[in-house]
Amino acid sequence: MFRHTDGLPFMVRDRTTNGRETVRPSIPQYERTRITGRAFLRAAGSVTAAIALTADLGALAAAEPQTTQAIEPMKMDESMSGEMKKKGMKKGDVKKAAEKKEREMKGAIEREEKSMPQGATK
Amino acid sequence: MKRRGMDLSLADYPAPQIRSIERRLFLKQSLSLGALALLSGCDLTDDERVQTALSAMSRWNDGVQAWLFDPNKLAPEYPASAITKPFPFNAYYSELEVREVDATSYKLELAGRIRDPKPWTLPELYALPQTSQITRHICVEGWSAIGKWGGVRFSTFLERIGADLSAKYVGFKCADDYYSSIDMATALHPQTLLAFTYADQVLPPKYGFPMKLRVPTKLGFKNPKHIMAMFVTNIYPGGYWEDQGYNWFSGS
Repeated sequence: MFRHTDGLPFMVRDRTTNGRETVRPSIPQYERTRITGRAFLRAAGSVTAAIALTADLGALAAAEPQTTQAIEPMKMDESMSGEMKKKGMKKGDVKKAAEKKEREMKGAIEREEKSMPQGATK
Repeated sequence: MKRRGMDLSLADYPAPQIRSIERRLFLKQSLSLGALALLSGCDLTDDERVQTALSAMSRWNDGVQAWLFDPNKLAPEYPASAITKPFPFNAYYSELEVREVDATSYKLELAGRIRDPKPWTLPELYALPQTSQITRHICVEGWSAIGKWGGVRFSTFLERIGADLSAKYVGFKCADDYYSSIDMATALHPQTLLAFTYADQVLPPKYGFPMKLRVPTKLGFKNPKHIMAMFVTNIYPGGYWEDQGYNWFSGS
């Protein structure tokens, strides 16, 4: 913070970055520069924080083992390709069926896994 | 004078012979009625009881095919000159929608009746003993094509992970949401591969990167691509097309 000094209308009392009190000429241009500088530093800080956060999220995403992408996202409401389909079958049906099967099988597979003696074989 | 052909009447035959003719007629008519019932189309086959009966028949068919399956009989192999170029792409979606799996973060997840269900990275899988085969892929749609696949024998992999080889099924979950399963006898067949290459190159996405199951003794839809997870189980796991009525065993 800076404020005008008593009796010295062209001087302002201010604090240096290490906290020491100082007096300097009140030059509007200089003050604007300082304000701009502070705004710049704040913005730079925000940008740095944003980059750091993005990097963290990126690292988390990289830790996900099953990331997939396609040239084009699958059009789930479109009719299936190929000759195996039956009337009315859509691409999204496979995902729905897979999720249903997962729900049906999960518990039993886990129980089977627990029933096995565990041990490294690699 | 003895009568012949059209002149003969049933009364001229002894009773046991007539009974035999009647039985034959009855069987023929039953078969015709059965065939007619199957041919009469969707109205009949949409009926839940008919579906249940057909599913039961299909499962019985699976049992017979499994009984007839010879684990030592090899599928024919071909010279490199017989390879189909280009090898056809086939899936329930277009080639532009093929999922691309990230190789660096990929880990094959394991579950079920497995002693060491730790996930496997691609470098670990590539370090297993590799083999290759030139075999024919036969599609239920009515076409076939010859290709060269390379990878580890699935039996080697199952032994390495400590799978219960007396279990009934091995199931697969894929990056494109597809799922399927095979019987343990087929899983242990010497030509069943966990394939990482096609034509000596890393398996391209359209053929199932990072890996597909290559089973030359079964129809194409029993060869899942983009495998992300597998499990060994005694519980019948079915599969996407299998659950829609396609025969589960589907030997080729």
